[in-house]
Amino acid sequence: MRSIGSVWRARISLLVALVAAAMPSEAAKRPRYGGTLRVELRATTVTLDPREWRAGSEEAASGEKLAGLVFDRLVTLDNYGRFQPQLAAEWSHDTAFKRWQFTLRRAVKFSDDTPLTAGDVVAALQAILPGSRQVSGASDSVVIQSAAPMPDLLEELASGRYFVYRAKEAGALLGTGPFVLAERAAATADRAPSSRADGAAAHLHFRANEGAWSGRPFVDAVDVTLGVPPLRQLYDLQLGRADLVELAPDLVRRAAQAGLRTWASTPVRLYALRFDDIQPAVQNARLREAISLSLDRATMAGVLLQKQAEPAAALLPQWLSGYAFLFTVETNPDRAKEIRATLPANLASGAEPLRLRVDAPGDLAKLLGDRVAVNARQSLLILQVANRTNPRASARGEAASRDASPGVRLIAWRFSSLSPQAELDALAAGFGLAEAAEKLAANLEPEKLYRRERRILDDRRVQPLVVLPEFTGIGASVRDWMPARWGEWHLADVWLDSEESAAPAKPTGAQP
Amino acid sequence: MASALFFFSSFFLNLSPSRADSLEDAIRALARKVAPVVQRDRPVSLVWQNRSSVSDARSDLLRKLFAEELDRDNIAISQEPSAPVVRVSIGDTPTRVQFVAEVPSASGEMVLMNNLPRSALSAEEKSTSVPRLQKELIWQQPEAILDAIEHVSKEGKQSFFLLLTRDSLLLYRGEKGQWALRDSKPIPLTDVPTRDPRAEIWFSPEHEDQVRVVLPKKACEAKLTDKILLNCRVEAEHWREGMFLMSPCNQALWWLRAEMGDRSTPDRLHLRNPSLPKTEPSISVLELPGPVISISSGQALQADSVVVFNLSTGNYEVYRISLACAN
Repeated sequence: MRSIGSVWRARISLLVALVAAAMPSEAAKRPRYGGTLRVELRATTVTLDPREWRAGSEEAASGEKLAGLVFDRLVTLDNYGRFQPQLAAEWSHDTAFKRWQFTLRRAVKFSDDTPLTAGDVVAALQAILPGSRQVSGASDSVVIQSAAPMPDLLEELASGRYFVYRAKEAGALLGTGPFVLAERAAATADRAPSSRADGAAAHLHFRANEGAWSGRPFVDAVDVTLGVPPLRQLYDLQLGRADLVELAPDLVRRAAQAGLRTWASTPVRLYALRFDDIQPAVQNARLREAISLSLDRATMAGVLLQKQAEPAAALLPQWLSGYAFLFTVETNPDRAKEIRATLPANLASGAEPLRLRVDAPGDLAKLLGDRVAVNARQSLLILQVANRTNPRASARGEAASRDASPGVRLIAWRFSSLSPQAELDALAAGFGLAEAAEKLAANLEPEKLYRRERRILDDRRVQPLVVLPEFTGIGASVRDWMPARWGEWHLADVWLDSEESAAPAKPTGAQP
Repeated sequence: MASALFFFSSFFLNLSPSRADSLEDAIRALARKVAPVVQRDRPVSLVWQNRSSVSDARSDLLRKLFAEELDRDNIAISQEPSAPVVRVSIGDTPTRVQFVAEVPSASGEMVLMNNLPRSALSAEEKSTSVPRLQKELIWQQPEAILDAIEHVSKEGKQSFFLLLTRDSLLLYRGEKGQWALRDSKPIPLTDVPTRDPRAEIWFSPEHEDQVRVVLPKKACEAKLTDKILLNCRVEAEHWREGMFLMSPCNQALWWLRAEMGDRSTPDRLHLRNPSLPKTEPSISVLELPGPVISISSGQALQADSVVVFNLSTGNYEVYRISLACAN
């Protein structure tokens, strides 16, 4: 390369200065501040209080999405498998993974301008961590200890309900996150109102937290409309009345055909059959095997769910466990018929038909329930789809009295933990499995988790059907949409490109 | 100070050439778990499946290492269709790369696993076709980089490398072909935290031992000896708006710019004729693994430094961009 003489340098400097004034920015488009991000959700009620979330439920998933606006965690996990400091600036553990120490980030304040203390973190986490774990704090550090090793503690703390908050007297929760809940129902603090009696959707309004330690979010506010039916969400996105919507699986193709931007997470929702011993027939292992062989999961995923789902043979999805491919399930109606022929007469004849209750909310679950019954019938097994449980009761984990004795329930489970062990523990407890009492004490060997899941599935009291991603429709003006692949939204990093905005930008969901 | 220590320790960890706790170590360890289980009376066949973000080339290498490790234990690998099959699969979880081996044993099939943090997976660059613009990765780290320049003296020797992060200016000097940290100075970008930190290093060929650091509402003159001597003052910021490259063929000047997508999408560098309208097509295009954070230069016209956020690895990378005199 030739060297550049001083005359050249002077010319170049001048030229650079001249051209610099005329040229546009050369790097990636810089974010713009301002605007209101309009979000629509199907859930009719949402609570931001992590203590109230029922593991695996849709309500918890919606709550977690919105809680991420207001609260922070000690650590987060990026899409590259690296833990990133959030409220904890540093952490360390002993060689046995039984004692973890977190050094808190300095100068973090809650949205009311009071400082975050170790005591706040201890109070928040102690309320949601399993009782076997002790949390203590001193000065600027927090220690979590357990008699059993906790190799997955960072995965747990980076996901699910492990937000840090401060509970105020009236039950309201304060956060250190990038947004502040500006409008909430007066009577039920931090709980979004259910759909109003007049049918109008409920709203949550989050304003930017100007003093957030992580920096002010780009948008001024996030306006969340609850209880919006799937088709209405699609229309609102098309008409520029919403910026982010939850897309129902059966509308994804339609949205794509309409030229809308869509995004899919990794599969985060499991549909499965749970066989309860309440109905005596279910205790027959051969009957459970026959039903398993009758199920055509490939058709459920490919036809019924328009290829938006994957057949499931495992409880934990491949992206979470890394070993789900080891589980396979066979579809063999002929073999199912052969087994049926060997069943006791009362079971084989259908005189005491199995009752299937669809506990999972939504039309999709009902469709799956009907398909299960059809598959069973093709193998000459009688499975009656019972009345659906009241969705509210289902959300609270209660069964409606009239459906008190179904033999089989169709259940949905929304994965939320990034720790496969914690997720399997929660799922076993949520499904009411005897295995729940048999939690792994120290899972430092990855094979142990696999063997445990294998034991659960071999019994066939739980039969996975399909796993689905979460789908999001994204408005044309939304920029830097970079969620975690497991479905966690990062709305503080999103900004609105006004050049792409649709003309009428006022939120309309609140109008009756 | 604690956070600074954390920063530097992770910084050096990432620069370390050591391959301890690597995928290679992990697959050898799995092979050592598999070896005692396999029946040794006959060779086994190996079925390999890569379901992960590990590249196919790396996966092939791992397969070879696995077979070598078994061979070391006197377990032969056969292509015979009738040979018992050892299946090895590589998968990803959010935090780990998971190796799973399905091994036929005397008591039936056994499943053995090993894993390691996904963050141990090193960047593997996709090869790209580069007609005229050429890039060379000269730096990478997980911590955010706002700007970087590499200065090469007139004699062609590496002189210094300056890195501007969210909170520091770091000075490296060339020593035996490697960059060694000489000094770092804290530079708070703004009084309040921001999600869109912005700062630039300006280099002028007339003053090779100093640079200007432009910050929001502030500018600092940095004199570079073995230490960084900073002199900052309040000043209206003036952001740089482009960078030139000179063709080594005919000394013609070209304008280097990125596509200006948002930060969730990979960017491309375009080489344009500065005297033509923006609508004119680029003379050369170079694919990058992520959005461009900055384009600067410490080697007036000879090479530019481009900071890129690699969307595949999550690392910030500095590329030396130069022009090849090619057809």
